[in-house]
Amino acid sequence: MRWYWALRQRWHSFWFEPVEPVNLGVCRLLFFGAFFLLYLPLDVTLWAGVSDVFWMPVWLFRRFHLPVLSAPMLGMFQGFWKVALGLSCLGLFTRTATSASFLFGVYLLGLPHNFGKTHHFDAIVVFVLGIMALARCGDSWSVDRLIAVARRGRGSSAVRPVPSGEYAWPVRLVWALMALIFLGAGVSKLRHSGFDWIVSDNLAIMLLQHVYQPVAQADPLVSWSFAVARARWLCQLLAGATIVLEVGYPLALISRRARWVIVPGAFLMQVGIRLLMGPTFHQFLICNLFWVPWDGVGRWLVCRFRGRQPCAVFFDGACGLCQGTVSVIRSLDLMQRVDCYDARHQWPVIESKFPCLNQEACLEEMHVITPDGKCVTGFYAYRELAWVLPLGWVALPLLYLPGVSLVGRWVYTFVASRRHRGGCPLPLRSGGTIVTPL
Amino acid sequence: MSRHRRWLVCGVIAAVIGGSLYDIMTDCEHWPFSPYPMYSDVRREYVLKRFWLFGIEKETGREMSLLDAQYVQPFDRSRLTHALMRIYRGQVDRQPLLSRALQDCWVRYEALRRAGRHHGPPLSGVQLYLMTWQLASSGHQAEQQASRELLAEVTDSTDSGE
Repeated sequence: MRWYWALRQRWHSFWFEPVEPVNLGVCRLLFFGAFFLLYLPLDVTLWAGVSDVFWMPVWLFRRFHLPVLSAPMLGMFQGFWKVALGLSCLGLFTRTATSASFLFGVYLLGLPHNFGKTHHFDAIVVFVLGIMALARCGDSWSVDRLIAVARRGRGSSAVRPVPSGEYAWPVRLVWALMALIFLGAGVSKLRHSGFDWIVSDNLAIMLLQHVYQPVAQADPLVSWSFAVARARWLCQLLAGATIVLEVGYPLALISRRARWVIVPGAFLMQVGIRLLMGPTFHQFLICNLFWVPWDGVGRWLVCRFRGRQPCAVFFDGACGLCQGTVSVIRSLDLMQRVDCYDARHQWPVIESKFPCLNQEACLEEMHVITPDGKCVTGFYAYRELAWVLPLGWVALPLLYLPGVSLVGRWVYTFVASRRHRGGCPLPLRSGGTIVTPL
Repeated sequence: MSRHRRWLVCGVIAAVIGGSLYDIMTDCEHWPFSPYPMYSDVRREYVLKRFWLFGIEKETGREMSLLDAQYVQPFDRSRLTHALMRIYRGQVDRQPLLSRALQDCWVRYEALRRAGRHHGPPLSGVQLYLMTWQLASSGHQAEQQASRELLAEVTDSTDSGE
């Protein structure tokens, strides 16, 4: 029984190791963002008009008797699906959006495979959509999280998601999926061909076939196949490396050292296939983002940029609206380049550090002092903050368009003048800990 | 994480891994599960055999290759040739089925052309060939077209594409 408990312990520590939600949140954002862009031009409506002589349903469609919908219905489904992908990327209504992405995605991605050939590059997308639908991937790096933070203002520590196995298993399951896919490919080659797949002229012939008359869904990008095919030793070496990488891929699950070799090696292998033979593996290449430790990348970036002088933000700590705004700013301050000061409760500190400021003015309008000592207020304060908040970089070009500052000043004045009308629109929240970044 | 949630997640993990391993061990395909058999067969001969779809231009009578995604969409050339191959090899009475398949390709080609989704010429027929090329084992670029065999065709005289 000891082995059972040891195995159980290993299972739980692999799948449910408590981790921060950042990694999963970034993976969600990048995964759905990439596939939103990749599938935006997708049009499956034409499949509705294909003759039933081509109808050769795959197992899922056969088992559940899924029909080919009419063109208008397909158009509606794919529209909903693309919207769901976009919302999932943003992390808005995350649970609904990811669930819709999965349900529509299963049908829309599976439909073309019922017409004569199963392309194998998008099955992994179906699985990952399902994993993300079940996962708590909206707890970090999401609009849902920002809304929760803004609503709670300076709220309590309960706002911040605690490290949990909920944020580990989705990423690990994607790793396991990729390992099984490559393992399957390697086992298939050995099962059908044995070591002849490596030692014969197989790879050389394959390269020549693809470059003479491209028949994959895309053409090779380079014409190096001729040169590679002429070097038989190189073809056999590449074939051997392919089998080793594919069959050995599961080692990446349990060994960090192996991971550094296998994952980039398989990535380069698929890039090489695209260059020399044509088949596109964009979906697989995108899914490699789950191997990147984004929380570690973030920590490195913070350390890299930490030395720079921060922006100082001054707000009215008695106003619930201001508290919510500052909470959102703190959540978005990934580089830790913003220091926030409460002009109502921290004025002695502010006065000593920033003698140029006036308390009344700071309570009237939000002030920002930039790293180079410039003092800006209102809309211009937000515009300066956009330089130091990574999400703000997206909006920066827009904020400098002609006319935007005029509109921005009007909007700021409108909101600021009404924040104390009939009492502050949001109640003051007292106590609690400082809201941590996303 | 609650106990029920943990059991649910473990169930999903087991289903995904179990389904994948089952297909790998049995070499069967249950989409989206698969043993991923792409390129698993060994090639021994410097020969390339492909099903190829040609259109006959109405005005000139010349043949043009139809295996361009814009002409055969929503198919891509890989899926279409594979589908035609399955029809050809899978049925005893395959000729009527092949004719229907070619007819469908022709009708869709014309519909796409009229909708402005490609600029190909109008066709008077569609032919399916089995093409065979002898590849140069030296790996140089010169190639030889060894032979082609007409498998099926539909033309204006046999059926209308409009």
